[in-house]
Amino acid sequence: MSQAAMGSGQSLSQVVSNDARLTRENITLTDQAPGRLVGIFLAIGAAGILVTLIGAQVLDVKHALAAYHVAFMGVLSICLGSLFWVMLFHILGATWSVTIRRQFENVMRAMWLCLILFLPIVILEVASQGILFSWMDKAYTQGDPVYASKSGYLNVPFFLIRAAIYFGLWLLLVRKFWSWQQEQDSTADRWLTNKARYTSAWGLVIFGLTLTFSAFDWLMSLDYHFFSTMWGVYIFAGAAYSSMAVNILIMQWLRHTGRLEGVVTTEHRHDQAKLLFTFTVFWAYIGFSQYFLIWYSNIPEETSYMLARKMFYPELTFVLVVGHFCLPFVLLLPRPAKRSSIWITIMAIGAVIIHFVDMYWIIQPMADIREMGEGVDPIGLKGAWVVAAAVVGVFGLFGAVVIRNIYSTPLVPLNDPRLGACLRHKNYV
Amino acid sequence: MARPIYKTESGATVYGILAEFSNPYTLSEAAKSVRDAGFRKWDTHSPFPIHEMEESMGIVGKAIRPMMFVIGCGALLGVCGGYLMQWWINYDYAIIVQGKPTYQAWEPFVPITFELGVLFTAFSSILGMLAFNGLPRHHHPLFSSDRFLRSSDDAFFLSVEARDEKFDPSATRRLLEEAGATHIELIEE
Repeated sequence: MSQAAMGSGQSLSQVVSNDARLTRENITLTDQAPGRLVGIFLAIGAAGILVTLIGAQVLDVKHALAAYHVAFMGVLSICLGSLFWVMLFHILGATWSVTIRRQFENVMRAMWLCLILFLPIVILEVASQGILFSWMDKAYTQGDPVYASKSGYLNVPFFLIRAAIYFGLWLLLVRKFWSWQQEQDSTADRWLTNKARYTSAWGLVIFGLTLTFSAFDWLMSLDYHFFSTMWGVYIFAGAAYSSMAVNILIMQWLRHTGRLEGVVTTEHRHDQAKLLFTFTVFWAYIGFSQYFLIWYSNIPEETSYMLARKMFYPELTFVLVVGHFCLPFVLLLPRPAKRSSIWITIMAIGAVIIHFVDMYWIIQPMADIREMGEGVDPIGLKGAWVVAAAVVGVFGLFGAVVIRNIYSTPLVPLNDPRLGACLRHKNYV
Repeated sequence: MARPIYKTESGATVYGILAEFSNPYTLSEAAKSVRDAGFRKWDTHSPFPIHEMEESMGIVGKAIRPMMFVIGCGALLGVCGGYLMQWWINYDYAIIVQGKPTYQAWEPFVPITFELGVLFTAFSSILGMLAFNGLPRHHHPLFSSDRFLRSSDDAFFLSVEARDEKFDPSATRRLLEEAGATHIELIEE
């Protein structure tokens, strides 16, 4: 039956498994045109960007750029988190995740969009000698011993070189993993799975280094006096958390359209929910560890970071702690909650939103860092609408690209050696 | 109705019946037929975990609930006890370090609260596991069977206790034979 149903498709007909669930109708969206959905997302994206530009007029360029920075870093970390999950699944030889891995790949393939989204930031910052990146401003750093000691790392040419290296390596990894996936879909070469595994080994090292240093460059250096050795891990925790949430949402949407029936089941969703829960706790653990060390050591350069957020953004801090840890911890803890379709959808939407709140909490106070000592009140939550617009805008563009990716390929890796085991996957605990 | 007490030919009380199976799949299938026959006091023994066994035995999620309660209580005890202990120590004999507030600040108490929570969770898991398994115990009637020693090496067993209401030496033996047992023996108390 399944052979007949697969019919003419070049790659689909070569599916190793004769499983009745792997029919063309069930594991592809290619019979539908993605046009309308992509159009909606593009429209939302354009509207969001437009409102952000209006925000630049109403407020000022600095805060609008900070809002855009929030959106960019949020989307970038979702992309990077997806790359991380793909490599993790490969290196572990994970069976349960084979049918959900394709959607991580579809998200990570949007990396080129992140590069394009990054260009306005880097051009604006360099051209105007530091809007948010105050260390780019020669006049501002004049005679600052803290900058003098860091100037070997924090200078524009090296900053640009590093950015090029990060994106080069990320795009290379994405390209490698994705081309092998495509090749395996059509040729059923099982050796490609091994290749992906080898590449994941050094890929994860590269990922750890590039994520950490890009987090230093693009987030921590916004306040170049501040430093935290936990920073990279903190950003990683958010990236893994949000990308898992995005993947859950894509899966829920695909299941809603009637695809992947029996291919991605409650069992897979249960495991995804476990990982979502894991990274809720991990984020809190890392977040508290960072806060705790800063609180204890009481060094001015470090405490100013936490003080700015506690004093000027108390509501945001409260929302972040409750929304990123307390609520998901309690609401995702019971087993039935992890297995409930509607519940996990709500939790995943919440996770994506709170991830952008996290970025908001990190970046927005940095915009007022220069005026902090001059008795000028920071913008506080007055600029929240611009941040919301920028996030919706960038996320809209990102969504359009991801949806186009989803429509363009089969929804599961067709010839993965572990596909059969994945279809039998079941949780006993 | 009093439960009949079965005796072997030598006059010893029968503990139960032990059936050996050649592989985990036949053991799992046998477990299904024993489950469907309505037995309650029985168990399977294997050198390694067999994932579908909970389902085959019809005990999915049943055993874990009292454990969850015990572990939850242990965790709460660790968290509350850990925090209260530190609060009391700092309240009763406050030592000011680096000019930081003593018991009014919550930050310094978190690591020990967290660690004690983890420690007590581990304690309650281990002790609860031992208690629910009826451990420690020095001997079990099944150990009188020499063949049973191989259950930690390369053999698969299913045992039905004589305490079970459905137990009947000949009928239960027949059931297990039909399920594909390679060897069956009566175990003495």
